Amino acid sequence: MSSRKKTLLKVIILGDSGVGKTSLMQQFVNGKFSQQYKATIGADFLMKELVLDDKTVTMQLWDTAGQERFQSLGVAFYRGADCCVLVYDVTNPKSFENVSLWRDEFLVQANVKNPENFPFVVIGNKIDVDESKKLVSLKKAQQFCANLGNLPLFQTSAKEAVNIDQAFDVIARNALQQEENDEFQDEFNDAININLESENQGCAC
Amino acid sequence: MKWPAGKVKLVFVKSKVYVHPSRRAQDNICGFLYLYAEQGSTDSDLVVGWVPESFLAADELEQFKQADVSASGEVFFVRRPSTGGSFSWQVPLRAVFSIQHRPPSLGTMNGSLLFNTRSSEEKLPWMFFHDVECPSTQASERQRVKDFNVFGVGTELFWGGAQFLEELGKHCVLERSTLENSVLLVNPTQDDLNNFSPTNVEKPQYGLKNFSQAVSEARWNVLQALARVTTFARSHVNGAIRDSSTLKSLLVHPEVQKVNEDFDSARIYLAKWALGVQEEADRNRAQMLLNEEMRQKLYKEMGIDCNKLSPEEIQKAHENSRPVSLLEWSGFFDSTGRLAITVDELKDRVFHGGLAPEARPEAWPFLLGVYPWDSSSQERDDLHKVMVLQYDMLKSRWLPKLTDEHDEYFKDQKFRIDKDVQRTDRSMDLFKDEDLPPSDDYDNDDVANIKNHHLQKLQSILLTFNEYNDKLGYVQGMNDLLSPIYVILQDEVLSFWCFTKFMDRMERNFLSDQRGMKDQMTTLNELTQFMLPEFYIHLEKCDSSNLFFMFRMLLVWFKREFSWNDTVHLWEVLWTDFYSSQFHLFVSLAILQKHERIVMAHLTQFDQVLKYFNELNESQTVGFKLNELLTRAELLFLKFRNTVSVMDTYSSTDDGSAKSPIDDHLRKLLSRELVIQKELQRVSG
Ligand SMILES: Nc1nc2c(ncn2[C@@H]2O[C@H](COP(=O)(O)OP(=O)(O)OP(=O)(O)O)[C@@H](O)[C@H]2O)c(=O)[nH]1
Ligand SMILES: [Mg+2]
Repeated sequence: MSSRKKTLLKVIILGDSGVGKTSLMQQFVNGKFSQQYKATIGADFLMKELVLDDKTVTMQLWDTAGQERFQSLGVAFYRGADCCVLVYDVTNPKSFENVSLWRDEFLVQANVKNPENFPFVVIGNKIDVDESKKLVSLKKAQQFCANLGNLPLFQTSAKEAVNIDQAFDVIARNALQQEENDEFQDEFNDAININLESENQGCAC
Repeated sequence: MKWPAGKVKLVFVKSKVYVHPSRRAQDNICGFLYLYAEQGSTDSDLVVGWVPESFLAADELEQFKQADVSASGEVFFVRRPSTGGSFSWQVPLRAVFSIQHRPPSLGTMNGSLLFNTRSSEEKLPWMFFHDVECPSTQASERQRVKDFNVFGVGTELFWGGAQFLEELGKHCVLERSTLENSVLLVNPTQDDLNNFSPTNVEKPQYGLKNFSQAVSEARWNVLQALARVTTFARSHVNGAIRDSSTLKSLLVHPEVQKVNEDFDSARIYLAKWALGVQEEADRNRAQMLLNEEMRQKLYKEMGIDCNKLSPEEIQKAHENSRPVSLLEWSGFFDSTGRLAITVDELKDRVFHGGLAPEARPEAWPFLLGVYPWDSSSQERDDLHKVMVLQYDMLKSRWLPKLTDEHDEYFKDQKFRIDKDVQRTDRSMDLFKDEDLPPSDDYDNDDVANIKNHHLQKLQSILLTFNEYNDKLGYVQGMNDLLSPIYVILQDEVLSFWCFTKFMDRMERNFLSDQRGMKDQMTTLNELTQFMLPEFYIHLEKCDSSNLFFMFRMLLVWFKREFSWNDTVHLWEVLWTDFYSSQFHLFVSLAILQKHERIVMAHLTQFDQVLKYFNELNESQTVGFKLNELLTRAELLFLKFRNTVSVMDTYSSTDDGSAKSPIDDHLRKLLSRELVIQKELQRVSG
């Protein structure tokens, strides 16, 4: 058996209905875009393996339905998240306004240890549309992200595969960092447990 | 010998034939099974019946006892046996439709016969032949042993019932059903023969290469005829999987190893693989379907005794497996277009067979309650005119809002509708093409720019519904519920009204506080605990006992898991409310039960379970038949109903001290009345 420990990074993707969460995930994991995707009902996840520098990690990307009333039942899988992606649609100002609501909702439900340090990444999707249709300016978004503590921001198109890999690379790195911080905590606890155990066990065969 | 006035002639008598009213031996009632003739009657006028010993006066009792042991030729006249008391019975041979026979076996000790009459109301008790007590059977047995001939052809087990049947065979035609060996048809008509002895059902012939295929083709008839599930095969298969060296060698296969690398998705992969194996095994096990051992297993696993199905029920199940054709549907109505059969008969038919595609546009408005069952064609035409007017009126309420910049709620709702309509069943032919000319009003990319004219109809209907039920409004997922209705009816107005009726029962799925969904998940949770306790415990270990993974199936009634054709079939079955207005929960339970063993053997975590059920593509799995799932759901319902009634009997004799575990959630499952939960005030989002 290989002693290399496998790293699973759990990522939650949130945002209003129709901003393109499912499309982004599909583009990143399967490299395609389809008009035939259906609105998400309930929750689902996709897995993707990624090499970061010399480390292989597996990302588990969680996708949920965007309409608010369906969130209440699905919070179970927020737990243990390593990174949260907040998506808005550049053609839809309301979806942008809601980004901070999604962030708050996540922090409340996921019960994270250090809310100030928890990694979020913001994505403005659908930049392939006509300039005239872009109702959320990049400047406004940058301002917003700076205010929330310098959150990384990406402008993407799931349809034309623009900036997808770049965005998810940063998401993965942030998640990994978070994971390692958490692990440090866990290993610290484990070390104590192991010490306790070895005291009871006379033989180490 | 002269025929004494007022008496009947005993043609045949078997003593020590019992009725077993309960499982306790002391409750057994001993009596005589007899065959008598009236004066001057023919064979077809013979009467068969049973009378308890205790009902006979001393002299008559003596006559019966002698008739039992006498050699043929001796004649006994008696008064017509009484039919008083709760178990004695009498029917003319003419009225007997079939006889089911269960020879004695280790499991049941005493052989038994059941007479089924042509009228389904009359249910006669099973007749148990206590051979060891019966003088005539004992005598014949001794005779047979004496005459024993190694080369004799009569290898069938000898017992009292067989003797009775042998006698009966002298007076009428007894035809063995090829579908079910234990059923003998009495003077069958050609129709009976077609239904119960179809010639295409081959007797199993071992060694034939395509035997299992032949059986799997014939199997559905058999399955239907016995309303039987394949659950019993499951335990075998799982044993096989657990010990399987194939599975172990598969684990070292490089491809599998690669999958294994991927976190635990290998487990899901393996679980699916196991499902494939199981289905294959189920199919090959079909050859076992008719044997007694299997029946016992089924009884153990499901608690349902197939032997208790009367031939009428079997016949019904068999006939009903065909979808209702348009011709048959039209035949349900008289010349004025009024229903000529009872609503229950019709629903029974649809529940068990579904509808043929061409019957759907006719039938759905009835099933959904848009057209009253007792209406005439004329009344429906009038109703349709009113519906057109009302629809136009509702539509005129939102049309002006399209240009009202200040109605934020409407703008949000329209946006919601537009983007969901754009994502509705786009793989369906009807919705696939962009068949409308480029619009001047919208940019190409605008979600509001709907480029298919059928999708535009969906949009109008949903906007109108948003107006019609303004407290609830449009909520995501409703598009999934509308689309099949529209595709079947292809009429905007009728689709709208059918949709509103469907939404009456589905409103509970869309409430802003999700109360209705929670209620259903709670009920399903309790039902699972009650009916599949082992599985429930496993789900708890997987953090999955909240059944969140069933959410999608419940919200849009299995539409994402089943193929289009299976979905519409399932929906029309559910709309009948034949057993319960919440039969969808039994369908859910049937799905859980179907996957129980595999999930228990392979999956241990919430995300694995969710993924497994999310990726169920039931209709695409090899050998999946919706009918099988529905039969399973039906049996689960019947078992549930039985269990509840048994528990109620217990708790009522217990002077009500022990509280019944059946709470209101579960009890409501027995009701056919719709569960309506409505949004009380408008909530956006
Ligand atoms: N032009 C353009 N359209 C996009 C893009 N991404 C998604 N869409 C479209 O936006 C709509 C919604 O996309 P989804 O990926 O289903 O959105 P979602 O966020 O998953 O929505 P919910 O499942 O309802 O929460 C679809 O019609 C997509 O085709 C994009 O990058 N550019
Ligand atoms: Mg989605």
